[in-house]
Amino acid sequence: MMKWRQYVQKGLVILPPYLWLLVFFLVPFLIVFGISLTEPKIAQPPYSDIVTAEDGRWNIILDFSNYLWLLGDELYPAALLNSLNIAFWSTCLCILIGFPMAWFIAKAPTGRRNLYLMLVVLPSWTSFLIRIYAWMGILRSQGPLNQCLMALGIIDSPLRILNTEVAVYIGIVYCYLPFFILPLYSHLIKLDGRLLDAAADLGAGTVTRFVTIVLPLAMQGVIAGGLLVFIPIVGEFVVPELLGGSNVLMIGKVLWTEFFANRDWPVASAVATVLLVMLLLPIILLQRFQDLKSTDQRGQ
Amino acid sequence: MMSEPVASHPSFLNLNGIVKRFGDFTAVDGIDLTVKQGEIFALLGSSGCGKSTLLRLLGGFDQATEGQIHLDGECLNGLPAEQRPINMMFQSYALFPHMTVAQNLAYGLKRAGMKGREIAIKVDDMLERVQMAHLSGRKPSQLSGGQQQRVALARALIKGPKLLLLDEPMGALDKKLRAHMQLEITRIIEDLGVTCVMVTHDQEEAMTMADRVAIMDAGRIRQVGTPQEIYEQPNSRFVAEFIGSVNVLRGVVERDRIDAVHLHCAELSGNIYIGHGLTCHIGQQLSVAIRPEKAALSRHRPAQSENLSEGEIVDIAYMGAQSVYHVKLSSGFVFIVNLLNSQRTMALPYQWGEKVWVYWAPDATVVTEAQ
Amino acid sequence: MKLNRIHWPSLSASTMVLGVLFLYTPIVTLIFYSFNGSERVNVWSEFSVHWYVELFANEALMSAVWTSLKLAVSSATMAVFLGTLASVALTRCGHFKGRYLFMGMITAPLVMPDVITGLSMLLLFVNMNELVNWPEGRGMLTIWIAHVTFCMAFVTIIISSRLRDVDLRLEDAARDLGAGTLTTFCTITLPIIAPALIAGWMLAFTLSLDDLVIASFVSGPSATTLPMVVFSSVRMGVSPQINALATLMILAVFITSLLSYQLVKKKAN
Repeated sequence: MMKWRQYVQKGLVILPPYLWLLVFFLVPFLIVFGISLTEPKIAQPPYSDIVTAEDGRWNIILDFSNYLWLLGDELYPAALLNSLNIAFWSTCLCILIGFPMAWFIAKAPTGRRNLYLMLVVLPSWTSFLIRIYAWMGILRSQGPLNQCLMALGIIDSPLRILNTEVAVYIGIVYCYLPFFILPLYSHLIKLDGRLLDAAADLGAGTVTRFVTIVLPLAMQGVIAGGLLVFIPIVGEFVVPELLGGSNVLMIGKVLWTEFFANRDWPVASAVATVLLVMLLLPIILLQRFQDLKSTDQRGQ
Repeated sequence: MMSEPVASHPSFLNLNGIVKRFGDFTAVDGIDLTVKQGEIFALLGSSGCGKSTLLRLLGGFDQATEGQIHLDGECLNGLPAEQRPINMMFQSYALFPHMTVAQNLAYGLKRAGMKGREIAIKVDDMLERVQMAHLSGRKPSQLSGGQQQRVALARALIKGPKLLLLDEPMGALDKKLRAHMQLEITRIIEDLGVTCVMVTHDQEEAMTMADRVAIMDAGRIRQVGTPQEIYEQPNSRFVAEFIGSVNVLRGVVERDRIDAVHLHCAELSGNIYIGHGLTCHIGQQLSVAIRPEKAALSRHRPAQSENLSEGEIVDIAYMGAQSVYHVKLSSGFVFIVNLLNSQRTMALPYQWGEKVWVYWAPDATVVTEAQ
Repeated sequence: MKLNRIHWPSLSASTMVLGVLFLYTPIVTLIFYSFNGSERVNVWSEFSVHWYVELFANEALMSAVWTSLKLAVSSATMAVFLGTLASVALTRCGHFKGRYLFMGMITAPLVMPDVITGLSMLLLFVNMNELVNWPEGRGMLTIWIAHVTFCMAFVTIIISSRLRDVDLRLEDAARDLGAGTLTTFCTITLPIIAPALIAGWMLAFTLSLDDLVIASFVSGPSATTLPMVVFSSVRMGVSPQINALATLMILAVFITSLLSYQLVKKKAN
């Protein structure tokens, strides 16, 4: 038997964040979709109306030409594919580098774990933009990296790294690595070390232990962490813009250009809609792998 | 709902047909119970038997699906935990980690709207009573297990509740401290004369602390009684086996007299003689329980024709104060006998593999289940 | 099998060392070059605080710093407030209608590419302005709303995971001693989860301070944030003033983390 007071209390807790997210997070996507079905117009705002009233009748004009335009032009599919490609490989790099690091931190003595964790996370508390800017300096042809390599005699003439895909990979892995390590660490920390001892006791070698015990138990953390970096990388704008120059095509950059340079809001909306639909599946997957689902202790 | 007049409640706490369901699962399945004023009452059962759910219903943390709870003549149905004159000592204590001992004790008094001076006097008084006055400024994390328990008890008692609930009171203590605190807590509770319901899975704890014990299983109460009654007169095979260890034999009634019953028992390859009358009929199957410490061993055939069997010792567990002998009878039944190690000697009186006689007195048997 | 004799601990330790080197190299170079007297960024001439002096003289940049700080403090505060409510809703309110949608709306902003969030927010504000004349124009208010929205998701994740770890018996004990729902929350739950609230606030603060893309979409001519100024000057080419600014920001972050680390350590002892 639940009293009205409890209903009011519950409502006061749930409604403010719920309504906020509905109005400022969910509804905007519907608007984006709506505007992707309009025509660009030189006006304020620069798109045609979906619903027009004419002689007391409502007319709904849906214009799918933006989507056809996206399909017809090879720039957009290429940008999308390239984004997915870069996101996939940089996620793999994050896993390759991040897993041993997360493992190292999780297996460190209790007193030092927090210190190591802070060491990894600290750079991401400083401005993202400024760290990318630092890489611009390091990677340029007269930058410290090339100077070092030349001084060591490894190369004769400066390598061109800045404004290539290599620079984009470096920048993306650099920025997203901590976001992969953190969730994976919280998974690894729960892994009982005695399981490995037990496996060793039963005759499993290092690699066998890793493949048969660590990997299956850490899989959920790897997938969750991987999705957590993969999804935002697909739509990344700053890194390809600053480190990739005009040579690297990514969908986030295309959207930005359509919006700010070409002022074509309907096409930008169509790009956003396509991107969102592509990311919907990984987002749903992420939600399944997140701890959030097992949240309620009081619920049955 | 009108509460019934006090006179109709000779008991202090009265549970009437309590049922609690969680979806399809029935955790508590129709419980009737009365607890007298000043009594320490234990709910004993294995995990998942519904005892903790029942305690939460009493505390007001959950509301019963069916049935009524009356305390001191007042109906508690629908009252939330914060409005019940009941306080609880939680499992692993649930001391507020960010408050000192004194602040933990003052918490409930503050909620009752008491003022600073009054609170200080009451807190000091209660700390004195549990011998924790010297540690009033400590945080819970700086206390030992036994000290934490005293604070938890003091916090539950300080509002002067009509009913005190203890949830697995000794669960977090090691064995040695447990024995000490069982007596100590009982003393404090009895000093204050507060009525108490406790939940435990530890039969020793229930028997040491409680005046009466209820054995619970699958959401129902199997037997209520004093510790002696439960141990010596279990009303079912379940209770007999739950409390302590027991040898359960099956027999068929052969002769039924007013003051004695003879059973034929295949496991003994002999007869069982029960030294009191029973309501039964010839040919009926009965279960008979014999506590291991009530039986004895002998190398020679004892001078009795019933309640005995020959066997071979197949296992001996030396436990310090006593030893447990497993005797395999010729029927294959393994009979357990406990013997006190009253002599200080390295050698045990009986050896592994020895042929011995197991026997017991006619009044040592308890008929548990007439089937 | 030879493969089975890989010494896994030393493999992970060396990756850790290389990884940390990788993470800190850019930061060290930033600090190094910020004290470079030369106009040419990559040539070291002499130690100088010239760029720091110029930085503080740059009025556009300084006013952007101020704007960003105001935004970060106010949106972090609101995000913590809403995030706490959302966390309580998720961990203490049982099942309610639309709980799955709610959880989705908490998870999605964590990974939503900034360009999508930025564009959709902007279109919302444009449409709202036409329909209800609010918010009027774009500027601080619209950036604030956008920042609160995406920061709230991060804050909720931090606080709800802490809330889930709180021993429910503590809350039961408070109720048992006569505290109502609100009193229990304020006197028991809130003090216990306070570190998570602070951590959430700090994360929201940095996220807001760091955001370029969303702010670029939803801001108007009246509000220019620090990342927007940094971005446009970086696009023009490398500017040593940015090095000086970066060094100051890094210093602030390191001092704050050092203090909080000491505080946590002291509390633990």
